[in-house]
Amino acid sequence: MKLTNLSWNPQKPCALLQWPDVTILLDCLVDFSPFLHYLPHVYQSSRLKGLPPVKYLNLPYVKELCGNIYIDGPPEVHIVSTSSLKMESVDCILVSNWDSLVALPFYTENTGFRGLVYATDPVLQFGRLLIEEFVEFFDRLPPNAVDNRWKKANICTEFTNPPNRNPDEWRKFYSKKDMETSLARIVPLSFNQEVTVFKTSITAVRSGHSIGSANWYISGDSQTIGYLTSSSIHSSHTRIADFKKFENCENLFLTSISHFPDDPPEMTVGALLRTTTETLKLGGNVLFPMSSVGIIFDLISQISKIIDTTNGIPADTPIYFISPNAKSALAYSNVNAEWLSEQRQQLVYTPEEPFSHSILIRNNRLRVFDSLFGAFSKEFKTPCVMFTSHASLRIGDAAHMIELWSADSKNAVILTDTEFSIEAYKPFELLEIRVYNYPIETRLDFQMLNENILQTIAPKILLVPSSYMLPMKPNRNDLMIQYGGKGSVIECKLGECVTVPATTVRKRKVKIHPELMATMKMRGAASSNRGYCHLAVNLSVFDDDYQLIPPVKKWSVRPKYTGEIDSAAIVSALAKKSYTAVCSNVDDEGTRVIRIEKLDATITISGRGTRTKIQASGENRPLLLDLITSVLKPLGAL
Amino acid sequence: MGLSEISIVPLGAGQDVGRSCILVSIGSKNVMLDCGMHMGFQDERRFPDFSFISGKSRLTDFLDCVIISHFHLDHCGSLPHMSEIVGYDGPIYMTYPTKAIVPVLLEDYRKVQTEFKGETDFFTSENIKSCMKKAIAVNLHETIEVDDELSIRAFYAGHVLGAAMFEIRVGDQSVLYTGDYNMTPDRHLGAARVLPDVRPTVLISESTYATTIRDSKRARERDFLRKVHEKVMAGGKVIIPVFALGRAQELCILLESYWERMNLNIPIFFSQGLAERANQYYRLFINWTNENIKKTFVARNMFDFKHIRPMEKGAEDMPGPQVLFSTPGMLHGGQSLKVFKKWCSDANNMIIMPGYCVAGTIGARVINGEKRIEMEGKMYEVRLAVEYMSFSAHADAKGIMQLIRHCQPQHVMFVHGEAEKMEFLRGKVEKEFGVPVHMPANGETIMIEPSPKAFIEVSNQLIERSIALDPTSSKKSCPFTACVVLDKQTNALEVVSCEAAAEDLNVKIHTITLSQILKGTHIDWNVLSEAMQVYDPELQVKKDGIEMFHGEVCLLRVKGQESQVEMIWDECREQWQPIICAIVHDIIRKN
Repeated sequence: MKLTNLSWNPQKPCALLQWPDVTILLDCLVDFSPFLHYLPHVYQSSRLKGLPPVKYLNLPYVKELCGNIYIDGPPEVHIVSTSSLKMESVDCILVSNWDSLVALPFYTENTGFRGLVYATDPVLQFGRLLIEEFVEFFDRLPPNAVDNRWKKANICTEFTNPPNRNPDEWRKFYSKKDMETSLARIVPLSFNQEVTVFKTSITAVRSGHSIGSANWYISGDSQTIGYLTSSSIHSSHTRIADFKKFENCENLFLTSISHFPDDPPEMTVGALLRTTTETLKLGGNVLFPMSSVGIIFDLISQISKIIDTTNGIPADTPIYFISPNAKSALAYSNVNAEWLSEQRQQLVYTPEEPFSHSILIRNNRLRVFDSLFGAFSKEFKTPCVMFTSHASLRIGDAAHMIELWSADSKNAVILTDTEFSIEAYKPFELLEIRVYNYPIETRLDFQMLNENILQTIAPKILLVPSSYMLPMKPNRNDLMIQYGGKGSVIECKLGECVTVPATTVRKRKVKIHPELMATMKMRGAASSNRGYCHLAVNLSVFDDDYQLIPPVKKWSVRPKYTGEIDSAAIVSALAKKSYTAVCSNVDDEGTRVIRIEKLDATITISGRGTRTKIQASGENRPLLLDLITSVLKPLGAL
Repeated sequence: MGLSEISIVPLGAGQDVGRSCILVSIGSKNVMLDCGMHMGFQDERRFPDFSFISGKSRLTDFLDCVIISHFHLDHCGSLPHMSEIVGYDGPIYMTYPTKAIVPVLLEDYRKVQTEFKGETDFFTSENIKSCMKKAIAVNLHETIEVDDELSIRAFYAGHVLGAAMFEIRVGDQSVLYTGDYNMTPDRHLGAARVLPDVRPTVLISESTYATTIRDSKRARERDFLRKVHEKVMAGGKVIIPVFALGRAQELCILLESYWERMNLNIPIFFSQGLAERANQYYRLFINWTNENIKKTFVARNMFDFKHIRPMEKGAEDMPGPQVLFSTPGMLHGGQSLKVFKKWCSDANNMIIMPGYCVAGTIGARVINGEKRIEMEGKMYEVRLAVEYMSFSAHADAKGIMQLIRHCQPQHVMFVHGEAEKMEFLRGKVEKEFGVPVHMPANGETIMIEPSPKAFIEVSNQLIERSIALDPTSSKKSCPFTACVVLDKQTNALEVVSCEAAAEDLNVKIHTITLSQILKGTHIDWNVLSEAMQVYDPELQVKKDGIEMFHGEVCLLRVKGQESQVEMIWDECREQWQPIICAIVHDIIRKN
């Protein structure tokens, strides 16, 4: 088994797993960090719209803002080079969560990929909503004439904020058409549903991070491997991860460990709710630039509770949720109870919806719009709480809202994303509006893994990206992988193919031909608690179809025999067939040689009668073999 | 060689419809499939005979799990009785929608029995609650490990919301129980679907419509709409007895769109409360409906009707035409019976029975064309028009055959049907697929002999060894010698090497080697070893000759005979002998 780590960001894994029979791509990577080099898209803003080009660069689309250089055009993304990946040789892709699904079309469309894609049902449902949102946001961008001249090394490296990955490898987002054909390739799975690809069995196991998010258990001919990514045991609306399936697995590939180990989500959310309360009490607006699926489902109900229960906050303070897919996101959240936490599941038995969103909408507490235009502008009322995409503050409606509320320090922007942190806020730094960074990180941290989960799973070999082999922060040895005792650790460097040695004897399921089956009988002494059946048959492995079949022709396979041979018995048996044999001793150890002149053959019996050698020409050998075996006992016979 | 014997005994639904309850044992594992009640009986016969199962001992000790296929009472109606009154504390598996809906129907059933019929010795609301606490919800296709040996898997059955088929597996033996299923998609549910890897030892299939090849669905629907339309245009009232969930939604969607299309404004009513409640379940479990509804549900919920409204009090006494969807479906009580009694004597009215009715129910008697029926102690003349149009979502003969073709079981068993109908289909199945078909009566045990198991696990080491022994590149007949060892206690089978088996048995394998003298004119040992390296790149050249395949084939010098080679090989290398022999001859006979 070979594993190649293709991701430069351990939070967003992408790796190639290769077995002789099958090649599996573990997740797809789309790195959005290039976004941060682009100017935020807003509908109106004299501040952002009126920026002059940077003079000395002489490119009309390169602008300077707050001391940093930005490209004024549709942002690009960075993915693993699909040509070096040889997508045409990939048999299947496992998509663990909706973040990975967003990347999928880059890897499946126009890459030569012809295989299968597996993802759970909700990953497909919610991931589709996320992708549609992206596609819509990109459609809204004005067609700015941006070329690649700025990417030249002599230009972009001169930026005050130079890109840290080569912008020549960046590319545009895909089209709606590519999205559709890509998503159509997906075979939706349930958790714990086993599927087989070229004799390799693959099972998605609950990972607990988001609705439908999965870890994978992959069992090939000769080895098994568990693949953990974005897993969580924090309570939220999703059911927490299930690690039982991985216990005592041979190999474990571990990725996506929390980047905020010192900020447990319970504390972060607490701080977030306090800030929200204070801001609303001041009469300010609160903006949450965030994804329209996921944590938002919990936050909506938590914030509605604050509004209900806090003195000094008007009870009719609206919560706006603005996204082209807001309505769908809320609708889907309520029809996937099977995938939610026990507590939410219990609600459907009452029968109530797992989330209170519909009630909030009915009571006009939660107001859902697909964009800032049209109906929304007519009923927009402040102060309010608003959830809107995108966390990058480059596309979508969030950036526009910051600009709109920018002049008043009563207002607050609360960043919650773990991928886009305060870095994304640089273009807005000097504005009056307050900003808070409360990344809600629910993924497993090193402490949980080192002290608990890895000890329980106890893989023989643990595979981790290089960065986990060193402390995440200086002098913090607790923030790295510490796995000793029960197995070894293999470091997976970017782009390096590691060979994972087999650690246990593996078995293969082999078919038994019905004819053979009919003749098989178990023998064994009645007193013994074991029965034996000796097989002397043929094995066909033609066309990778392993089957035991009856011997193709007589004696094409002889059984094994036990017992000792007495030379006198052989001589007399030969005599019965009218062959004269002469027997003689050749050494002191009792080796006897039987010479049969008529057949020009010699039988040598040694090892106290346990070894026989027959020397004869081709035509006479079968005769003598039969004769020898006739005085022996087939293995397993009573 | 698969030594887990399968035995199956129907406690209900054996050559009968109603009270589905089938006991399956695979090896030492015992599973109860469904726990239904019989609507045709009012005495203890409505429950399966649970004492049959474990005699006097506790059910929990005997049963490893209970599985409920769907929410219809003839499949789950005895569950609280079994778990709370007889006593069972083990796991009860069912799908999520089933788990949500079952308690509602049980509560309805309990009310009908205790409030309408005045029964006192019946399970209570508390019983239902504690029973449902034992229910574990499962998702489709998920493999549930009940314990180390027993696992189950659910598949979409398309009969009602949440209906599932279940595969029960122990080792290599498996049983696929269909529950009730429908092989054709309809307006709100998809068609039954099992995964392609499902190959049960025994398929237990319902056979409600074993002899029916139903006419095209479209024609049936047109017929239905025409009859309803004609009746209401003539001023008559139409009652359609249905169960709250299932066909009701299907027919409502059908009638709703017809009313819309034809611009009709004759009232359509649905039993109070049920419509809303039913819709709620459909809203929560939209993923269990068909693709079409799933795709459009965000924009428009198919179950929010415009023309169909909850029944108003006393609506049945209103003059003029109306259509009423009324529960329950077999006229065995509740509102259906109440309204039927009021309407049945007017020839201008009509009753449409859209589904199967269990023998003994009023519904069944109406379908049979009885003109005078005693209901709740009073005789009624039945003059209204009676139409029986099967809309129940059961597989017909074609559908059953299709499922058998698809999953290729080694045995088929029919339940949930009438004996003559089963008999007919049995003939067909045995003829077309050549598999034995069983149709046990209630209480009759079917033993299925441990059928040969098709697979055995072999270590890669033994396989590689075997492949090495075959000199051909097609590897179609590699010599394979080994021992299958059976542990009589655990019934576990293991394939071990002959050497290991011999050691285990405390015997010694007799080594047989063969030898032949090859005569030539001149022997160049370097040329020989080079030629042999093609076959064994790791061969060893020694003083006395060449050792190949770790000594399993040797080419040795013959003392005093410079132009001869003695070829010695282990018996297992017999197939290599002619090949090597020919090459050696070729080389030593040159010059």
